Amino acid sequence: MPAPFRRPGGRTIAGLLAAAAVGVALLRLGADAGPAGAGGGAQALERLVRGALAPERSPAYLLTVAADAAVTAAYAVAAMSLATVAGLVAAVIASGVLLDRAWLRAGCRIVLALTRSAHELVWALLFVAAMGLSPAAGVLAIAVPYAGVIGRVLGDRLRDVDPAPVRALAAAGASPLSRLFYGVVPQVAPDALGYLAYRLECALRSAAVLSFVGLGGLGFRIELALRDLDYARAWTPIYATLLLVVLVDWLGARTRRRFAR
Amino acid sequence: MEPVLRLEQAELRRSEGFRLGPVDLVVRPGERVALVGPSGAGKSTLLSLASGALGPDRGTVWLDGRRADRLGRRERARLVGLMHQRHDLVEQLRVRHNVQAGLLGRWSSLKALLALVGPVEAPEARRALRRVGLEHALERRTSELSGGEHQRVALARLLVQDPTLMLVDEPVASLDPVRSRELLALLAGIAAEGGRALLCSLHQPELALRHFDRIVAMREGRIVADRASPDVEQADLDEVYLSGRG
Amino acid sequence: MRGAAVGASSARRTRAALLLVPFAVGAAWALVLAQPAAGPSPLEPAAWRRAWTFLSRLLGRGLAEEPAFARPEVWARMADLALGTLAMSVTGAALATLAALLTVPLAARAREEPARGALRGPVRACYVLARSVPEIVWALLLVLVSGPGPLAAALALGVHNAGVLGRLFTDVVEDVDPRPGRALATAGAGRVEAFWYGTFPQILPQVLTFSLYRWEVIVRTTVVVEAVTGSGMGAALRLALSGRAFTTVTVILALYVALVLLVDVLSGALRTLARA
Repeated sequence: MPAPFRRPGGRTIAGLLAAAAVGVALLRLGADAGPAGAGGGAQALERLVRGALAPERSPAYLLTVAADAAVTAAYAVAAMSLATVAGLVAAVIASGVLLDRAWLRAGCRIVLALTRSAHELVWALLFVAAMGLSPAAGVLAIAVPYAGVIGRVLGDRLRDVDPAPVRALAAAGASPLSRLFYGVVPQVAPDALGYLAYRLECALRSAAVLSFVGLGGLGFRIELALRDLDYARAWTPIYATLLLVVLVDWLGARTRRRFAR
Repeated sequence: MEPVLRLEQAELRRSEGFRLGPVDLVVRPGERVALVGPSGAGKSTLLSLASGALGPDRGTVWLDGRRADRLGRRERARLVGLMHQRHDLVEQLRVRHNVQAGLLGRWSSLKALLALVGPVEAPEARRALRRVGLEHALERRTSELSGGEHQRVALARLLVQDPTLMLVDEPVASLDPVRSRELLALLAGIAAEGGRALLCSLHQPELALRHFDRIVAMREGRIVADRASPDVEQADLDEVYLSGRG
Repeated sequence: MRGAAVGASSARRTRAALLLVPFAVGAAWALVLAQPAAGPSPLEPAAWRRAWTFLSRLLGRGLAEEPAFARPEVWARMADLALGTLAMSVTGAALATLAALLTVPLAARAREEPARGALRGPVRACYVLARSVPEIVWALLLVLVSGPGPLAAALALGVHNAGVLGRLFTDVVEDVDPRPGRALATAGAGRVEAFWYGTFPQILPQVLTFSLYRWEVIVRTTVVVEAVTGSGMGAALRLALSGRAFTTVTVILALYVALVLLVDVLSGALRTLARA
């Protein structure tokens, strides 16, 4: 006799609400839709697919794209370095592992929530409008929201740590900082590193996209090609983005396996 | 000579209605004292009070003649160390780091961090692990060790901390009889070597009689007997356990 | 003992990896700062003055006429667009969930029938392609095919997130308990019924949770995708920035943050319901 499934309760409600929301959204979308089929249609699709199957592969272009990839990767790494440091500090404050003051934790969490609320491109538009088109604007545009989400996620992990080993360390006479290094950090390190690796992969995609704003990188190259409707030249940097992301994903998985035991 | 530990009318009230005390207890330097009693008698709570991890709601805890609540973190670590029932080792660290954690009461935070990440000589850790028979496990990850090995690493950490009073909570609760005897012999030996006092909670009375100088029996949060081992009969101990059922 | 030797060498490798990190970071910063910049470097006071000017313009200082955020009709117009963005995010999330759910039975390793695994590789590769290409790029490509407007935006969000959710759902399906489905099959149910009554109820809570979590991310990206496809709040933001209507930008940003917070709250509430 098959295992009796629970009477659907909260789950069904949630599912029905979601379905209703989707229905309303589609109706709304139908109302918003402007003139349909203003694009190239089937012809454009065919050219798109052909470009995907035969991207531009000349050595000169490959070199250019490789240089773009290096720039994009550099933006991602630089932004992550800032975001990790700021995020870790915020996580320690928000979780209260070193110093537990309610107002400090609440204030920190509000700041983190605000930085997380805007997409990095929105931040980029703001930073560029504020500072002009400079690499610093690009780095900050990624670093600020990423610091917010890293601070939030790692802060939650720090808070959920097993307190017993930390108490034992306190009993052995350890200072709050030593307790953090020996008791708290080792417990969160494997997960935290895995999450940071995932964030780096996201940062790569963000950096590629950010270059649409005018900064150098893969996105800029894609935009240039698409403006000339040269699909073959557009797909090469797209594949480069894909390769970068897959590479970092693989590295992240390896690191996670090394540390998690 | 000043007693290493003195509980003076110490009382503690826990939220679930559990009450410890008032208890009076004195442990002198070099003494080996066993704390026996059924589960729920308050043995772990008494040990936590003695270690200074918990403060008494009433009464005073004196360590080496000084009030426990007036001692700084470092001073207290030199006087008393507690080995928990659940070992409370950091599973993700290597054995060496867990053992070296016993020195955290003496090291500055910077030195502690360097010991964690850098290649550092660990003579104290090595010595302590050798004494408990685990020298080969120095670089192993703690999570890979067996339950009994966890015990001995926790003991090595206590050894490295080198307090005047060793508090040990149910060290042999999950060990078989052979290993239990081995571990208690090791514990008693280590205490004797350093002239350290030992206060150890057990629920096997026959082990208490065998390895300890003095037996303190507890029931329902109070101390009901406190005698030197030769003066204790098995029957007395059975009574402590059986009548606790009432 | 082997344990000691392995432990020591892995410690050495960890230290080597740790040394590589500052080097990589330094190289990255060098490359980034070497990029051409239009405008003063952030270390110069001129840059800070410019940023300060921008901030004060957002707040409406030194404006000849009434700032946009004091005019209710601007709020009304932008709020209407914001609702459109909300609707778009829901559509994108729904499309992604549907696409992922439909393809997952092909992508997951079927414990019972290993022979059916032929499509596993291609489907998983599609997931990787879908999620590695950023939503913006998909939006640009789709605009060329289907023209600017909400359709391209919805599809861009749907395609990219189908890849993300597909990967997450595959993990869930592979961890499922096969016994209910098997029992139903023994009792005479067809393969489809066995899936819907046996497997699906088990994965439903996780599916809902992942979709709702993803919705929070999607709503943030919707504005950006809209900026590219020329619809909704995103297009309005772009227009306001290029037209230097900074106080309008403030209105849009405020509504954007409110929208995001609203979705976070809704998502959390629905997820709690789903867990019940």
